[in-house]
Amino acid sequence: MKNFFRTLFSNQIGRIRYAAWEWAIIRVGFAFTVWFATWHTWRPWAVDIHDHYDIERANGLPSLIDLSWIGQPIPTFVVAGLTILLLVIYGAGRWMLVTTWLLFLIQAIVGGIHSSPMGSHHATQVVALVLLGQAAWFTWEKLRPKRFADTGLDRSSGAIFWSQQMICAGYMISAVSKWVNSGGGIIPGARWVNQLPNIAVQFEKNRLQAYYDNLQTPVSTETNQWAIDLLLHQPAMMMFFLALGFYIELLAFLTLFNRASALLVGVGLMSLHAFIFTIMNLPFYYFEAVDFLFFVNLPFWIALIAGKRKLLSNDPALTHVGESRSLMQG
Amino acid sequence: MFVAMALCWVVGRDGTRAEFYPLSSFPMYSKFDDRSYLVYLKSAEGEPLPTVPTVSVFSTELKKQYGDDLDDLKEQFKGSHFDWTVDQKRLAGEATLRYLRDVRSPAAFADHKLDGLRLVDVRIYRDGKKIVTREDEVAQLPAQ
Repeated sequence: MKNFFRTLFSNQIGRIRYAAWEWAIIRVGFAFTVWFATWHTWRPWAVDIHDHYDIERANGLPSLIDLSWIGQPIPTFVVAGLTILLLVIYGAGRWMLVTTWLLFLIQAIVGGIHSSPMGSHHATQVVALVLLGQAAWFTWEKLRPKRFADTGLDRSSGAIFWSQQMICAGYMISAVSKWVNSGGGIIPGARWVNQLPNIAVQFEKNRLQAYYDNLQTPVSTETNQWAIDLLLHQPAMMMFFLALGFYIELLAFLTLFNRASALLVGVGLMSLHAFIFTIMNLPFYYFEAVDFLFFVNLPFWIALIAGKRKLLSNDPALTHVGESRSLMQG
Repeated sequence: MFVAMALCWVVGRDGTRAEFYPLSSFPMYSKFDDRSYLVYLKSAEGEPLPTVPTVSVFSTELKKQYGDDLDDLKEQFKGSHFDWTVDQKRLAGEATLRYLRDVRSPAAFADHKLDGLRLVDVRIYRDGKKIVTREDEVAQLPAQ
């Protein structure tokens, strides 16, 4: 265990080698995430793009080019069908350069119309960002000079590392927004933390909005009310917990240091989302999914703990597994 | 990572936020005022209506539309809309109801089903250790 904590301070940025089987599991898990983030349903025959597409209100590519045709029944069906086909190919690990770019394009178009018109919410952005990171990696992998190919990351490790960087970018820019928009200052987030008691107003707004959606009391109303009371009467305690959330976002890049830090910070980020969901009725399914797949990377730790040395050591790309194994035993 | 962050920060920037899907500065909850607002719908008879089954809109989207319509009035009226009168906010409320009827969910309004639909503006304030709310009906569609 002592060695486990020592490895937390071991800088392996850009040098972690992931096995092909880890990338395969992450890929399949992420394929499901992409599907849901794009179409929000299990039923491919029931996918829908809002028929109120308005180029003035769309976000991203659909705000530049009139894509209203895509919301017609047949084009929607074709695009959804193409998504399934691409995700199957992606899951199989074939033609990655083409599939990642096409999946990114579909996610960016549908997301800009369907999920985030005028930036009304940000639930699915992270999925498109990861696809963009992967598409950029496979482009670089294809074009990089031989000397970079010889010394650089292999295909699996590069895809995971570039995906992780995109997730970190999302978290860190969110923290920077909080720092700047709340008034800046020398200490990151100090003014944001100082404004936190006012978040009780946001909690109440979210509670009422969740109610008016269906005139049903959300399941987490009691917790929500508890959080509001705590913020109003014992603000220091809630400020402490929410400040932790700010700093875990700002320091999300620590996930890149090594596998152990990815696990710990990844669990921290997932806990942050779970906490926000509990007190504010704001779900973060897709952030939770990418954190779980790319940072927590549970299959690796299960294999490690189960002592599957053969599985871990047979892959020449896994240079740190032997070390990690001894760290876990330490 | 830093290139991605720079793009998220710059592309589509307008004031305190940058949006160009999927690039975003993720500005949600980046500052907290001691006041906020939302809107909900009431029937012609004055009964609250659930937004999702009635007009296929989430309350958050309805509030966003109303907020945009309030923003459109900023050249006409000075100061914050928190200080505006109900009459001043009425123009925005009517624009929001027209958007629901004519653009967003016309089918829901077929056969005069939602004639007389009302929009209620709810203001939420933090007053020391209390949360205070105030409601005003700001607009109503014509009743047949």
